[in-house]
Amino acid sequence: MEKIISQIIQRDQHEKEFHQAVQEVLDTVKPVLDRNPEYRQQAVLQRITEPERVIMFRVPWMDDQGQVHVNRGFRVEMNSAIGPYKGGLRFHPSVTLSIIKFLAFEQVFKNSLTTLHMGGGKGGSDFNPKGRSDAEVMRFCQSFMAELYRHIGPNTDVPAGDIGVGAREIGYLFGMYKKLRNEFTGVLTGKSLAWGGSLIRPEATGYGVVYFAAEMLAHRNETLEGKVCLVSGSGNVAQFTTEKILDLGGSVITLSDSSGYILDEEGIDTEKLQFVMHLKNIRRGRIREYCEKYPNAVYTEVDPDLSYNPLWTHKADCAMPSATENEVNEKDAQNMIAAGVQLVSEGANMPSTPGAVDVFLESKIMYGPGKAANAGS
Amino acid sequence: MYFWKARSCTVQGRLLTLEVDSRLKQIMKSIHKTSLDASNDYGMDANYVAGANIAGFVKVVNAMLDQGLV
Repeated sequence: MEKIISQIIQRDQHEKEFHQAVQEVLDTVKPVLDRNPEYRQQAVLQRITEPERVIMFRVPWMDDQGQVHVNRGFRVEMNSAIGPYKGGLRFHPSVTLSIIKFLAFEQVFKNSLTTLHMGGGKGGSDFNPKGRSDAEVMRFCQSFMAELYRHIGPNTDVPAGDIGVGAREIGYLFGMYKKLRNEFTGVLTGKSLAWGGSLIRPEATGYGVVYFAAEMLAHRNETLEGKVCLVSGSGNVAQFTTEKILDLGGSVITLSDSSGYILDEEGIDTEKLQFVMHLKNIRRGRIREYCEKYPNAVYTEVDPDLSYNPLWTHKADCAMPSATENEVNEKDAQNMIAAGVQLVSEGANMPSTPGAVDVFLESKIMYGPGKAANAGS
Repeated sequence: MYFWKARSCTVQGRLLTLEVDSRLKQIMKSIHKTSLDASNDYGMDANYVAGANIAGFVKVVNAMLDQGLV
């Protein structure tokens, strides 16, 4: 087992996120290998950790001033043993091959758990849609799809949205795919309802996270009724997580973005959530503007010198990290436990560092890892 | 008349959404049970990390082995 890990690290030394995801899985499946000696002989660990195919390509595009930019596009087709590759596309400056490989690897397990016949894949680009005009985003999406289209299809590989890829981006991507292929097929999930999108798609991840939390509570004869929740992030997952928590009788007191977080001790109700959805999805503004509209809420700017995120220090019953990978470190996990958190259900992929996961497992709280809790996407 | 049309669409959309929502709830229920069972099967008490990894792993690996060395 150790040898396999060190081989994977040796082979791609800089892929830290991928190593972290692999390490966690290999640690937990060791008893399965002990029970099934055939697995070792068949080298299943080496096979499942090696992508079936990695596609990396140039994405040239022109901004509104006529300046040409070059980004890098990725699609990692990890595993198709139980169905076509399926998984989101992420547009964010932090995207690297390591990030996409880790996400694709996790996706294989998530899709396997859903009981639907879907393999695992993930893709994206280091393009940053933030601050770009609709026309720039469109040109980027068209250039991206001009290469990706030859690798995907309803029975081959079905991309969806992720960070930075919402309804607008999916629309442009689908339009270009349709033009190049000359066919209107279900090749992307997350399309607009008005032209063939599925009815629940944007809500699925966030709702699923809360349903998973409700299941963990039910196992201990409890419900979400009256529970106070900390939610990080303010994108698609955070928004619909909040909506479903309210639906099931809980309350949400925090939301965040990459600049900072808001604390609303009166609770973020349906009307306030509508404001956040409009702010984030239509106006593409910052979460700090919440406090201009609702002055009783407090905004706290990100402090890069701090070794923990103050969002997780507020008194609450549940925490739903819904921003991004490794957003919860060991100190944050300890702060949560100290603040009374009894349940963590992860909306983001791998939001907790290995140190944080250990804290959750040792403290015996209800801990739903992203692989299970956000598999409904 | 347009108003009426839009309304009826919304109502139909909402009903379908409820149906898909309850299907999602069932999927999450089954993911919870699968993870819990796998965790118990290997002598751990509600360790969803290990349970989810093991259940997801076994299903994919068995399919891979059935399909030969490809």
